[in-house]
Amino acid sequence: MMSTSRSSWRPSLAAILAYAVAILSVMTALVTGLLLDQFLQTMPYVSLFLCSIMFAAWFGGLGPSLLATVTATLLFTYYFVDPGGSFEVAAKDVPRVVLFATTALFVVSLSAAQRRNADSLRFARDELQATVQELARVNKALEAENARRRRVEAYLDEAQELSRTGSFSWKVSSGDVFWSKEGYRMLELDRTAKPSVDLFLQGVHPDDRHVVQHEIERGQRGEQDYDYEQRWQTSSGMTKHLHVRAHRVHFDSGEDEIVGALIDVSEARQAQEALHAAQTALAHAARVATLGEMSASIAHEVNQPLAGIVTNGEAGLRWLDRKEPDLGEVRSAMERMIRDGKRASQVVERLRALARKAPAPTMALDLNEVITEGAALLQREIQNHRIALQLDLARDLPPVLAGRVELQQVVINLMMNGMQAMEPVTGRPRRLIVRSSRHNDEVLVSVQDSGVGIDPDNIGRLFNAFFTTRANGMGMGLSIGRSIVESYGGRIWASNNDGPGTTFQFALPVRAQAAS
Amino acid sequence: VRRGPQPPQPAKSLPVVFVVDDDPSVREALSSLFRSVDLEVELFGSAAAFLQRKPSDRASCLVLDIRLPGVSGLDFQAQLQKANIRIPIIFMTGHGDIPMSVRAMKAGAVDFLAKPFRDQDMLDAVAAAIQRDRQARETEDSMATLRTAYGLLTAREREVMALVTTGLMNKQVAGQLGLSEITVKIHRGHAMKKMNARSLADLVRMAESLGLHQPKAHQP
Repeated sequence: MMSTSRSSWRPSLAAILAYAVAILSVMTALVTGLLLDQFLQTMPYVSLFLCSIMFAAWFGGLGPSLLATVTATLLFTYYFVDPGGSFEVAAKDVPRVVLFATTALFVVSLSAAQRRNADSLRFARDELQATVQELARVNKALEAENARRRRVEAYLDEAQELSRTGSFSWKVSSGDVFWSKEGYRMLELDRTAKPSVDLFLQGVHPDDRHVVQHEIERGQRGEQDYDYEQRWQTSSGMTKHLHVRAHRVHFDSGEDEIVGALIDVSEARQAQEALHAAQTALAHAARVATLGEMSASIAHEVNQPLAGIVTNGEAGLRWLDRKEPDLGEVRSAMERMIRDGKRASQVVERLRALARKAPAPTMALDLNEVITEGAALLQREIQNHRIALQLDLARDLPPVLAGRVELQQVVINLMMNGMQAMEPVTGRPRRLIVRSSRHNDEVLVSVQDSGVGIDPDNIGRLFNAFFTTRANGMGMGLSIGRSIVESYGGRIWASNNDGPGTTFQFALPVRAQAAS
Repeated sequence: VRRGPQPPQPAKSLPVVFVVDDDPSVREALSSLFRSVDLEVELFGSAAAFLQRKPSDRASCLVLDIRLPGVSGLDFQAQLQKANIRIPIIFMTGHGDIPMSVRAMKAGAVDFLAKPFRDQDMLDAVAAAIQRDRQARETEDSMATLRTAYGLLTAREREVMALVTTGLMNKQVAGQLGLSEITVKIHRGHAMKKMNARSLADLVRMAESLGLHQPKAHQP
């Protein structure tokens, strides 16, 4: 039946067979009935016809069973209803025929229903089977996919561990936080701990908490990109340096998440700190060496007020010991002693600052002050070298962000350099000009000498460590000067003058706050 | 140029101390010290400032810092000598510099004091320097008198004086100059009188002072 309906106009072979079987089964029932009537004198026609109809229905479905019913009814009418041998029906036998036909149709409908049920059952079973097969296939594919993903995840974990990069995500709306295996490892958190913003904040170094808090607030405000560094305190008390980079990802579902990477930069940071410490130590050594070169001047600088104090004291005593003590003179002698004492301690303080090992904290600096102080320290040196020093300082110079002692070291070094370059000069004035000025967002300091100048071949190597043109030079001064200037985001260079001598210059960025 | 307060007595014979140091503190301290022992003081911040001052006709000395802006103390000492300004110098230095002190002393410095110095050392050095200057001035004064007197001699009288004071007899002098002995005697008498010499020995000493017998003798 299904097959006929499916194969539109051309009946399929199965349909033809079904109809043929229907006719055949009715015929078989007739023949069997006739034979049984002949030899056993029983009349099982009705039962046999019904059986054949049931068979046709079972075998072929509704169509063939209806055909069988019609055929069986016709045959029943022809053979077994009076008058026999014709299709006429006597009035008295009409109920018999109708009953037969009704019974047959009932059987057909029952069979059809049964067959329908069987069909739908079979269909359902087939469908189930197909579904099961599909599921099995999908399952297999899923397993393969899973295996692949596990492998990829393992690669990813491996890569994260090797690169010390953990990944994390934060769904701001729900507060759901995720971090990867390497994230756990890096933060040294127990794998069972449920990631959360609060848990993360607990491990942040106290000094950096405000930084992280600020970034979290940015996240809550909906900012797009995140890039900052923070320190992390592990439960074992270690401090790690983390570089956090993240951005906001918008999903099709309309939700968005902050997805990012935690990078452990502790080693780089430690290396940087070690380098910085080495540079600081080197700069200190160079300062001490400079102080050594200046020792004669320094002795004088300290001795001068001491001599003043001693002489004033002795003079004061003499004024007191006179027949008529002159208390006015004593008083002014004592005032001068106090002034000299303060002056001596200022000199010592300046020297101590230069000789101090720990670097001065970075602060907003007036470069003019740095230059004037450097010149004050070098005053004797300048006199001894018979140098005319000219300070040409711009007014209202904006401050730069740097360490006072370090910059003083750079200035002193450049001035000493200039003086040494002028040592062989006899035929012309030994003039050292120190200028300060502002150029756009930079403060520029230049130290111009009228010395012997620099061989153009050497100008590129001037700032290299251990490069020197002096017989007793170490070749560290300018190289240290460069590392100091560069550490504050500046640059340093040298050029020969149009006339005799060289000009060294360095530029430092104007402190951002002051510039805006 | 800073000057110390003037002492009450304007006596011309009172000595004066010049201080040249670029450090005002040291200058003022020295001024106080010298004034406390009634020495007159004049203060200068640089060698150039001192040079601008008129030369003093009083006994004086110079207290000089060896490290000065512009010209060093040693160079300044040489400059003064070149300019024929004779003044005893006491050097001060911030730190004991032996080669410098040797140079300074060789060039005629009275003393060399390392800062900080003892007040008595400074005062002794100043006293010695003033004493030396006083003597030098006296010598200078008598030399000036001698030169003035010598300037009054005629050429012939000078010739006679030069030869007589070498120990030659009048006769020998007359022979050398082609004069008569009498004429030599007259010239000699005039020379003795003009030079205010009481004896021949006196005249010989004067000739020595005037350097008449040396080949590089100073001639007025």
